Amino acid sequence: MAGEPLFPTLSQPGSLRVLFQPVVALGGGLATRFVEALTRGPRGTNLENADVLFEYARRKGMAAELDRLCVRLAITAAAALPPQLGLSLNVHASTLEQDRSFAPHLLELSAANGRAPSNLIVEIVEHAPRWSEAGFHEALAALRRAGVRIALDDIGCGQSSYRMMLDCNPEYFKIDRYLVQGSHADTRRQAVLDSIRSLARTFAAQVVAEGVETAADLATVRDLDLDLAQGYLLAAPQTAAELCAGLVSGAVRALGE
Amino acid sequence: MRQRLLIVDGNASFALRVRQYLTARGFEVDCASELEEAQALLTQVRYAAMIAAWRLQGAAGAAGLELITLAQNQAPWTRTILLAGRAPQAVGAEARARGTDVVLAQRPTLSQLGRLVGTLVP
Repeated sequence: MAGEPLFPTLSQPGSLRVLFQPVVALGGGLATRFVEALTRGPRGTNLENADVLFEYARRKGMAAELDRLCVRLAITAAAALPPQLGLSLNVHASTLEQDRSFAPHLLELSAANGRAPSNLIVEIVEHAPRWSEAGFHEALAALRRAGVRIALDDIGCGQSSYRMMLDCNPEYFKIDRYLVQGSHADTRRQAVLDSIRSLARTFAAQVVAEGVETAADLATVRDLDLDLAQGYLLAAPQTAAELCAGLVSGAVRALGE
Repeated sequence: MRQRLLIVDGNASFALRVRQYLTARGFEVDCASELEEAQALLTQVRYAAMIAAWRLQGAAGAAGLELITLAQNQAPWTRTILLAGRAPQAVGAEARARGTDVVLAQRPTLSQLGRLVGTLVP
């Protein structure tokens, strides 16, 4: 796309879209435990791809603004979902560090939309090397005090290092799709998944296998005793209306928590 | 699978013409007009080649050189063509020093560009 700068258009109504992808319990008949809110950029633009969208915002120095916008849209859209269904929101670690009012803002938004903090999961993502830490730890503590649970995204890849595990002490370890896809035929991947499961148990955390797209990989992560799974095989990202329709029809089963 | 190309140019009509021409020749073509947009694409999408203007509106300095460096560091499989029309000679020399494949001192015709891309991305 050539033309005007893109960022100002992102905050216009309808520009960003929120989809929800179920995260299902492997030991619970594949019932939905919670949903992850996923943002898509404006249709037909380079930013429709979420990876490009967030990298663009980061390079514009506006990652925190975009995170704020995304959580607002997600919490608003999720008001249509059953309130007992957990909602997972992606937030960059750098946003928690730099935007000291982000955590209170998130809790206010949640209250204003009738969602209990105990039904919120903040999924920490990061694509930049670590920075200073004080603000990050304060924000995490404020969220935890309110009852929000923490997930660490992209475990095994990128910036989700052992250090991040120690710093976040997450309730959920979300294993990157790179490690999950093809695991049924790869004993090395299975060994990595098994080691992450073992590590997560030490943290009293649950493990989510991301990017499950084949029955063979689903059987593998089940055999490895992982707790939860997410992927197109189980449920595609969908609008709140589609998800509600799926819950009514039984196509999506809610376990709640 | 079609090879993917990135055109980075603030001149929307030029970018559109190049996109149409190269799409008709079997490539999948993305266009960007902002430096940050181009940087995000270059790091998140795998491109066979990038054709970049040396300067972009809203970006200080020679943005095309920044993109060549980014490609070298984070997408070394991406062949690069710098459109250096009206740039000081030093820009072309610097682009070569940074590892660009081609520096074009004048804006090429569509057929010239098509041939050039064809040689870089067989």
